[in-house]
Amino acid sequence: MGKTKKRHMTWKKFRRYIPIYILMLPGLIYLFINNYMPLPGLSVAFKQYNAKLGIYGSKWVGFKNFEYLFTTNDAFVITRNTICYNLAFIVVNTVMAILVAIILSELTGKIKKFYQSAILLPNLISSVIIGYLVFAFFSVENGFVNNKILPIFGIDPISWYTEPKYWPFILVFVSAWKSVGYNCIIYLSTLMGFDRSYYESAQIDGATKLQQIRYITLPLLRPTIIMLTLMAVGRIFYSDFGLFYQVPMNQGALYSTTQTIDTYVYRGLLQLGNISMSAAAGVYQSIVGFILVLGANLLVRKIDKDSALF
Amino acid sequence: MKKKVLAMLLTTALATSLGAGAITASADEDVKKVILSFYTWTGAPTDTEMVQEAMNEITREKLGIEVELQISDFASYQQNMTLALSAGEQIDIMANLSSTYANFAQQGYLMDLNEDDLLSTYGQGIIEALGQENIDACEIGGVLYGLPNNRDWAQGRGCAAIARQYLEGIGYEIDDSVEIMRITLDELNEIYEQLHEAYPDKEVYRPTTTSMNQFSNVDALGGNVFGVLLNNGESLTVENLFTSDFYKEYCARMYEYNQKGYISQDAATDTTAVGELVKAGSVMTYTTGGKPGIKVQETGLSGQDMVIFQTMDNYISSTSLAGFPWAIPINTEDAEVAMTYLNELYTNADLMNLLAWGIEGVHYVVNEDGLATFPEGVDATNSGYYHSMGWELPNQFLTYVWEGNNPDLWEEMKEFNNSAVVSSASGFTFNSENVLNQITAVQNIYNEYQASIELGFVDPETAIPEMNDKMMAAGLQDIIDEKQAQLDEWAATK
Repeated sequence: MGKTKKRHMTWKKFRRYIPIYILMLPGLIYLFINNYMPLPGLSVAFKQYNAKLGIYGSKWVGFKNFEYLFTTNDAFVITRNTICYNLAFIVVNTVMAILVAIILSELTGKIKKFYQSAILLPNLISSVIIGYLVFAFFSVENGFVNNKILPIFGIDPISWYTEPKYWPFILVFVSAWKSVGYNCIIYLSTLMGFDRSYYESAQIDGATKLQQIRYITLPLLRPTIIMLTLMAVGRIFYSDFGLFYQVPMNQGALYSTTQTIDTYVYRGLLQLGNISMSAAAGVYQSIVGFILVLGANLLVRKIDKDSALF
Repeated sequence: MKKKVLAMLLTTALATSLGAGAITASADEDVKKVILSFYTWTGAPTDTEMVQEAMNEITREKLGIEVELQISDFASYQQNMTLALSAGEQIDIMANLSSTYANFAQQGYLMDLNEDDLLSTYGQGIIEALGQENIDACEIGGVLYGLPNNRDWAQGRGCAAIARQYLEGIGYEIDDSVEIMRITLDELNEIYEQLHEAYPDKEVYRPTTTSMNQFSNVDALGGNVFGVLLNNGESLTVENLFTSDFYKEYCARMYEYNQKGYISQDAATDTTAVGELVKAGSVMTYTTGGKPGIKVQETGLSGQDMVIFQTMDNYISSTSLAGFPWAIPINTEDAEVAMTYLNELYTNADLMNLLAWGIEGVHYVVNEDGLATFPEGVDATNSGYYHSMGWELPNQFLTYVWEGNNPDLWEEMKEFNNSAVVSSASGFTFNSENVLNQITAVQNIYNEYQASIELGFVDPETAIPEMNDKMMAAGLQDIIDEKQAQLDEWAATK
């Protein structure tokens, strides 16, 4: 008896939500076509692809296509670079973005719009052009740094494009410069939605600006920070190809600090153009990314259940 | 599915943009259509449709075949073809680069041209135009996937192009009676030294990543230098280039150039074409591959009179012949028709001239010397059909020679090919299937070190062994062994 009643209730509930489900349908169909239907194609990573036979007719070769990712010591270097850079980006870019968002939120009028656009601009520039902007600074013979800045301190010109040790700093800096504008928009829009009455009562109680930020803004921002960080952690095994390929001008001598999984696969397969091996790299990245998202979410759930994604 | 839908959308967009000149309406039911794909530097010329119609006028009655030209620009050609082939689009005849050729063949996109005696039945003219032994040189693992084209098969190794104004500045005596001046490497070094003394502010020489190959006599089997034949391919012993004396000496020479200040500190980063650098007046010399007509070519590229020097032999390596093969993809509607048309391309001078230079009287005229040139009021910038891709076409030797060259250019070219030193592995094509993982890993290590070592930025005494050790750990020996095994097998069947 109770069972039927319950079913009845769900049906009623369902009927009430039908219009909403219909609204959801195009999105679902899109997701299904785009994200689920290609999944069987993953099998190409375990096959020796032959056009005559097609994806499903090609010969199974097991994990052979994955071998090249792990044959050399480079496997360690590229994995380390990919993860460490992304960790650095997550920390630096988040801190910078929140900082900029808080500063922007204190500004008003035309000047705010101007700063907002100016900060966003680098995000819109193509990596190739950024590569040349960086080159204008670090070119050995004609670069700004070697010709104008270093002489002030009496330092000899540095051959930037053959010295890997400087590049972690350059890349982290370029990444921050490029992405802070975009990231801060999300934080800024969240900030603007906060109830002003918190701040007003804090002011009445005599809280300073810093105290307001410390005790009101940051705690309120926490769910946004966690969500954005979680999403970034899921992509920790992917790298911004343009940043790592174009900005160091594809210099071999810099590989030890600029090579990531994406550039390694691209460089290695550029000559061979093997579909199966490229697919293998994609599968590897997806699986590790998937595990990392689950793991990070689990961790968040342990600490703060409400902020977890699922 | 996502990829397929996307691919279909893209290819439709592609087909409509590429095949702008498609002639669809054909009253005669018996007329068959072949789709011919090739590349130019800039994509389809504006008058492609006109040229296509003129070509069809010839073949419609004679063979009952019409052609549709699909021309894409060089940079996106490989991608366009991959997309079109994987989407199952009809392509009957296609041009290749050595890289796309091995690639497409290994992934099963190309037809076996000897299957059902396709070539010998429908392509007798091709066999005559090329010679059977040259056709065989395009085989991969004993299967013929493509046909070579008539062009400069040999390459003059060890060639340097030097701008005339600087040579005159140091008072060097230029011999204008020959197109290419033969000198020794020591003499070339001496010229560089004098140039550096006379013009200390200019970059004497700009090496690139292809310079090592141009200044070597190695045979890069299968198109990569991981396992090569040394000394013009004298013997069939595959050796490790990176432990050879040649490589050590070459890199030491570059290191010395760099120490002396001949090479810009930005040489490894700057990817501007060397011709442009000479045009801009910052660089004086660079390396090139010698051939008849090279002086006209380099003078055009550098915007000023260039003098060509050569220090080594003219050389045909194992990969030369299969540099730009023509192939019939598995997507062809009718392989026999495709081969028939390809045969016509290799043998019909009118058809070849149309494809190479456009329509006589509109895009080019023939002057009293029998050379082709622009008609009144037409030049390279406003011509509706001028791509100068003769070396890519099936049989350049049938076309008119362009003005500025020797009228006997094609005869010279044949002589150049015939007199060159031929690698004993000529005709061998490496099948990389079994060592793909090793090649990928070794290639990445080579990418890491190549520019620093071969452009002379690091001391080769320490850097070469370091690179070699890493390569060995990544499986270089496996590649060498595989090459040797395939080469031995190939030699045994000869």
